Parts: sequence; structure tokens; C-alpha cells
Amino acid sequence: MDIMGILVNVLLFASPLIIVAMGGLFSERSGVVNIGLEGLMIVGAFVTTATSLILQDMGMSFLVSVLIGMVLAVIAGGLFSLIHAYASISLRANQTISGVALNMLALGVSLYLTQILFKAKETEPIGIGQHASSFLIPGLGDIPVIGVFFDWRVILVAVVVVVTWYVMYRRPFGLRLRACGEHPSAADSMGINVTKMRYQAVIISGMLAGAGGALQMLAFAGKFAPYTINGAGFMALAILVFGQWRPFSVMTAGLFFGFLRVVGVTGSSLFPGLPIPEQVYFALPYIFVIIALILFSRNATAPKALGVPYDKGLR
Amino acid sequence: MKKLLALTSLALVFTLGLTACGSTSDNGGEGSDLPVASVGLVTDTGGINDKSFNQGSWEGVEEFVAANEGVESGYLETQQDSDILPNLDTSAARYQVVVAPGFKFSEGIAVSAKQNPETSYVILDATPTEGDAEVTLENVASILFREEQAGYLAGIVAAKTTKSDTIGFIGGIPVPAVMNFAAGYVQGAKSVNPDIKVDVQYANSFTDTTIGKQKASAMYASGMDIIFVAAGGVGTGVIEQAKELTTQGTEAWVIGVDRDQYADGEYGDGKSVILTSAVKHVGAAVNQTLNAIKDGNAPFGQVQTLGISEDAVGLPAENPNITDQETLDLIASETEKMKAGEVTVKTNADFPVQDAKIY
Repeated sequence: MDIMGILVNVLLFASPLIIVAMGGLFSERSGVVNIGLEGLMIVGAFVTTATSLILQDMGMSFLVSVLIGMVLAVIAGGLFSLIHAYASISLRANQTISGVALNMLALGVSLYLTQILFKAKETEPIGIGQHASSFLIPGLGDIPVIGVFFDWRVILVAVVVVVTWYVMYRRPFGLRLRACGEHPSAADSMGINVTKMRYQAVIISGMLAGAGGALQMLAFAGKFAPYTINGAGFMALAILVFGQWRPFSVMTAGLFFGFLRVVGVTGSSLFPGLPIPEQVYFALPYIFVIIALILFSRNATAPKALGVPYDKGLR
Repeated sequence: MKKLLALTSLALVFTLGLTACGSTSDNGGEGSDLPVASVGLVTDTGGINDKSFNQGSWEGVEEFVAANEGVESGYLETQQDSDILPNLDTSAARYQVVVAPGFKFSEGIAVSAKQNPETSYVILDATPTEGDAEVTLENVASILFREEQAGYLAGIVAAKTTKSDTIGFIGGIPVPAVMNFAAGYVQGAKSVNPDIKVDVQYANSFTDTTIGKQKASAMYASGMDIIFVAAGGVGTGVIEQAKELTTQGTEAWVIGVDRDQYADGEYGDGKSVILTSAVKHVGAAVNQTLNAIKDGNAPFGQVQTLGISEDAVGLPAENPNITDQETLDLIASETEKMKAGEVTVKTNADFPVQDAKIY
């Protein structure tokens, strides 16, 4: 595999994780832990697959059906995250437990609906492989080397990262949101509605995670099955922490982790002559992440009120 | 109060989502004096329509029921691994013969079979175990498959079809069933062309599609044109990668596993990237065993290993992508030789095939 091949694989692997991590960033910067990203991704993947299969059956083209599916996935992710928002913000339940419940519920409901709609444990493939090149922007996608960046999935992720940074650091909304995650009672005393802010943040995280689930399905399984997401949501959470809750750092962390992962999985094919056991390649991403965490953890700044339900009475 | 309400409704939704599904068909029942009056199947978490082991076994049960009037049958789906034992016991109380497909049942079946000595059990792809030790039980029949024979034929097809003389294998978790496929594959390929290179890799997962796609991407890029994949969900990623390359004009074949995966590899106009599949005929094995129980010569307390002679493993009857008549003839003649015992294929125990090695 040449540099191009590695690059394509890194982008494919990292894109969904980065967009989901951006969702997590909104939620966690507002002070709400969102372990439920995995479940929200599952919902997104299911909705996209089901929509695309049904619309293609009605004669719609692949790309249009996937686009509509993704829009619905974003909506479904936002709606589904309301469960987490209601439990952890309004009811002040433990945020971790509520998130775990979301994960279990998402898989159960998605598989149940798959069973009803398609009479099987997993759907038919929606046809990613045969349409993979249709994600490339015509003309620009043919340019050697940099052509791989003109994939609308990659562009979508890049746009989300830039917009996240802009909203977080250049808009009043972002400032208020971050204030709710650092010191909610101070924010409240300045007239910010903490409950409303946190609700908005969790819903945004649900929408982005829904989109990320769709991208994950589009990049790999190409159909909905119990293993379509397979822990990607937790990887996105790890990248969020690794990137210290900052948009561009999170993106870099995602690409770095993606690169190590691709080299780890394909190592024995990349360097066939070297007498290195495959287990070493497999361990690479995790070893480097631990090293990086040791080096950078000094500056790590988790939002101060992360995981603490806001209670007005405790002000 | 609000909290209580929310919790209760959440709990309700959960129960709805996780309730075990089952089905029974009554057409004989109690008091029947048939040798096998009722057959029950317990699935693993894959579910009854997993297009694989569970579904294949159930088809075998249905085949038996169709041929033997008055036999009652039904299945229980296992929703989580901790339900395996209760489900086995429930089925044992309801049915005379209980069929359990897959290695996940090996411990549960040992416990259940001891508690229900009146019930007969059939376990596929595994033997009953207690702790780590295998146990022999007088009411349990174990059926294993000669995966290496199916792998051998797949290797022949691959070696005959490849243009680069380098082919690949991607396995899931290295368990005996998967490693036997690999061992047979290498031997089959070498029997056609002793100089062929076979790259063997394991994903160490049955579910991670990302590993499948990345490994396949690297292997095809390094010049291999055929990959045999025995790795469950990992294979989905491999097949998607092959479709991607094929539609872009690069030749990339996949050899499927366990069942005919031709439909999974379709990329339009009925064409598929699946060259052939190394198939285990689970249904046929179940049907044969049930018939043996009926005839009173059941292999209880034994481990039966079914191979090509029993038509339990092999290639699909139809292989639209094998166009070369010479290859088809060779498969037919090698199949005959294996049945006659002229060709023996070594299992993984005698022909160890290791991870990340080129043979």
C-alpha cells in the first residue's frame, strides 16, 4: 500500500470519529458527560441504512437516498439524545448511567426495527462498494494525491470542525455554553439559562453523532448489523479527551489515532520483510496514545463542572 | 414521583426491546409414540435469521419435520449469553431433542444435559465442556465439521484463478474452526502451484468491519487478487473493499465462508465479487443426526466429524464466477478423491498455519 492508500484509509477511519467527537465536545463543554455517543451512532447508522434501502427500492438513486438518510439520521440522533438530556439535566440523574442506558436502548430498538422492516438480523448491503467513487467531487476528485480530500464526507467533517471552533470561541452562544460547563452557578447568576444551554448542547451532540454513525456505516459495513458501529462511539470519546476538548486538537488527535490504527492493522502488509510480530503492530496505536497522554496531560483541562448535574439550590 | 415515572417508562421500553422471541408449531405433541416426537432449537445471540449457523440449523430441523409427520418443533432465541442455560433447560422441558448450534453452548449443554437425562442433545461445532475439560455425556451428540476440506477446495479455486500467484486469507479469532479453513486453503493452493504465496492474517475479531476493510485494502494493494475470509462481520468490510476496487476496474475477488455468500458480494447486474464460498451444510448435518436418532443409531456420547463424504462441507453447487472448465473439472475430481480417501487434508493440528505469515 502506498502513501495514497494509507491516506485514504486514515481519512475513512478518522472522519466519522472526528465528527462524533465534535458532538461530544458540545455536550461535554456544557458540562454533560455523553457516554451515549455509541448509541446515537447506532441510531444514525440504522436510520441511514433503512432510509436508503427503502428509497432505493422506490427507484431513487444511491447518492440521493443516502443524503436524505443522513438528514433523517441527524434528526433521529437529535431526538434520541433528548432521552439523555431529560434524564441527566431535568431529572439530574447520573450522566454516565443515563448514557449507558442510551447505548443499550439504541441497539435494542434498532435491531427490533430492523427485524420488523427487513425480517432479518441485518439488512442487505446498501451498495457502498459499487458507488464509493460517487462520493468524490467530479473533476477535483481525480487530482492525484490531494484528490482524496475532495470527498464530500471529508469536506463535511472539515466544515463541522471549523464551525464548531467558530461557534465555541467566536460566538456568544459558545461562550455561554462553555461557562455552563465551567461554573454553571456563575453563568446562572449572569442570566444564562443553564438547563436550556445544556439541552441545546446535548441535542447538538446527538445530531452530530447521528451523522457520524451514518458516516461510519458508509465507510465500512455498508449495511446495518449488530456490528456496524462496534465501539466507534467510545473511540470518539477517547479522541475527545485526547484532544483536550478543543476542536482542532480533537481533529489532530483523530487523524493521529487513525494513522496509527491503519499502520497497526496493515503493518505486516506494509513492511513484509521486517521480522516484527503482528501483535506489536496491533499494540502500536494504544502505546503511542499512552505516550502522548503522558506528554500532554499536564495541560489537560476538562470542563470543571463536567458530570455534575446543575442544582440551583446548591448555589 | 416524576423520577419514578421516568424510570418505570424507561424500564418498560427496555423489557419490550429485550423480550425473547420464540415460535412453536403444534402438530403432534404429547402422547405421541414416535421415536423423535419433538425437536427444539436454541439459537445463540445471532438469532434465528442470521443467514448463518442458527438459520442453517433451523432449516435442518424443518427439513426433518417436513419428512416426518407429527413431529413437534420450535425454537428459542437467546438474547444474551447469560440466557443460554435457562433457554436450554426450557427447551429440554418442552422437547425430546434439543439442538444447539455453536461453540458458545459447550459449557451450558454439559450442565443442562446432566440435569435432564431424559432429553437428547445435539451440539454443533463444539463438544460439551466442564471448565476446560471435555466431557462425554450419554445423551449428547457432538458434530464437528471438516472445515479443512472446504478450505482445500477454496484453495484450489484460488490458485487456479489468481493472476498474480499471491493470494490472501483473513481469519477472525483464531479458533480451531477458522484455523482449519486456513490450513486447508494453504494445502489446496499449494497442491495446484507449489510456488504460490499465501498471506495468512487474523483480525482477532469477528465483528470489526474496519479491520476487514483496512486489511483487505492493504492486501489487494500489495498485489493479491483473491482473499479467502472466514471472519464473520469482519468479512463485510473485506467484501465492501472488493466491490470498491472491482467497480473501479481492479480485479479483486473474495471467497466467502460458511454459506454461499454470492448475494452479499453483488455490485449490480447480478455480478458479484464472491468467487466461491467454503460452505458448511449445517442443515444437512442436523437433519442426518435427527434421522439417526429416529433410527436408533444416534452417535450419543460421541464426537462425529462430518466432512465431504457426508456432504457436510464443500463448495456451492452453482459458482457463476468460476468460468474455467478445467477448474470445475479439477474441483469435481479432487472432491471424488477426498471422498475415496485418496487425498487427505491435514487439520490445523497437523498443519499449523500461523498469523501474519506468508506460506
